[in-house]
Amino acid sequence: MADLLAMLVRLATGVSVREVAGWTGKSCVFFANHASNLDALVIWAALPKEIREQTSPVAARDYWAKNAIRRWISGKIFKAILLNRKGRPEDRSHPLQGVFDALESGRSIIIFPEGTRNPEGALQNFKPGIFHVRQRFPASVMIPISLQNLNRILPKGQWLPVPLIGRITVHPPLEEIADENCGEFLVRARAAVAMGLQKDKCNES
Amino acid sequence: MVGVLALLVAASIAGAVMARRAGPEKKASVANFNARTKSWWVMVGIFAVTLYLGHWTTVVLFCLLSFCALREFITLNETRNCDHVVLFWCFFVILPLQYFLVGIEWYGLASIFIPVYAFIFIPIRKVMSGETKDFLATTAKIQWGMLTCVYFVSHMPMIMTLPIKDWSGGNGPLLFFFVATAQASDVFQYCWGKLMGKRKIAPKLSPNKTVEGALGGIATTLLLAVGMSFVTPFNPWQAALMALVICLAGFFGGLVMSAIKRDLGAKDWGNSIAGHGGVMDRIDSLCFAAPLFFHLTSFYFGTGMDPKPPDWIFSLFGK
Repeated sequence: MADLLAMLVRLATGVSVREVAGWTGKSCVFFANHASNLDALVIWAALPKEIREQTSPVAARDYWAKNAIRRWISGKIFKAILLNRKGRPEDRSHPLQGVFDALESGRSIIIFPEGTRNPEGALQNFKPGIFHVRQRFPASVMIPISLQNLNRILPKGQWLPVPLIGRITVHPPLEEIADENCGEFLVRARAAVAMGLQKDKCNES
Repeated sequence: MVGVLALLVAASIAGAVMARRAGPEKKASVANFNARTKSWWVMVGIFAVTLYLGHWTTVVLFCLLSFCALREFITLNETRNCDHVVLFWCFFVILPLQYFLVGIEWYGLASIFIPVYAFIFIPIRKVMSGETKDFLATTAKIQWGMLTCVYFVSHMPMIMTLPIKDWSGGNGPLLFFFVATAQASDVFQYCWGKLMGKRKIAPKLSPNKTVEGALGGIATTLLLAVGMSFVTPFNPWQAALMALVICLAGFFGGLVMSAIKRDLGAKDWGNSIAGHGGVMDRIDSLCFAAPLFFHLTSFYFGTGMDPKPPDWIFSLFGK
């Protein structure tokens, strides 16, 4: 079922990834720009099967737990980690606890450090969440991903998709730099994603 | 058909020999040649099977080709978020409807549906979004995409339903004649250009096109067309003239699409066909030639298409 869905998504959006340099087999953090509801689904579907099976997208609970169908898709098909976007006062645990648990158990995750989608598709500043993940799990490999055109396939506020061809670029992992503060790390991580969004539409071939 | 198979076999053998003999500096272009040949096998196979299966499967095949071409065209264009809904209409309503009209042989509507009805609908739906920035530019881009990728391409399955005077050979061979001539012209121009091309025709637009390639390619294609004339209602010199029109329209169609591609900053329209690029890279020379071939054949050899809708449409409204 999951494989079938992944194949359909790859076919519909023209997006797939052959290999991931830097894949260590466990606890990798894929992070990407966020412009469409499709983003998490597309990255998950584009990854090679053995990576996909060990990777969970991180998604907003208020969207993905809204009804039975979405709960079933997020829970059973792509085993998403659902986060509360609005912190609840009675909830004492760390807002990223679900992410920490997944990485602890060796699973890899897909996160969107901008936190929310930008209607125009431009890259916003990164929120510090990704830096906390980095501090908690210094050994995890951080892999930047750039997504193009997905905001045109399904823009924010639309529910009918237009069948354009998306593009995904998986960059080499971020290098280790000791004693980096939060701001520096966020700028560096954002620059890595932005690099793949420049408007060179020339095909590689 | 037999001739095409012979050509493909020859190309495959030549490719295998070249792959063994080629020096390291020629490896890339031999690999490209072999990828192209392999893709040709697949494309010829699919085309032959659809032609054999009849006119509705042909309509569906070209509908899918249009869909892929339009997808490549719109992807490379900078459309805006406010165009989203009108694009949805283009892909999922207007495009299938055009091919449906071709399929039910309502010639009178199929031949004007996009340039009249769709071209009125597109700006109206766009104006409803209230966005004025780049209005004319984006409207024109979408309309151009619909015209070349959908309207022009849909003239190929229309050939399947064209009634022809004193001819019992069927229309499948006629469509085959058209596609084989247009594609052979591309292939022969490429081969002659590779073998002895020196003077470039349009270095900025299409660096591979040379005077020697174009002349040699067109001459070879005319010979091929004369050889194929027995499957068409044309006599040999008529077939040669038709082939000349197809070659010229194909040549300039390719140049125009190439100019648009370069304007948009891309080398290929896509990467869906190994060695060739995108679907649009393969059918760019068919776009302009298809309506010309359709109408010329209809003028001189047709018995006249019926512009009225098929009877069952009248019966829907109780007439």
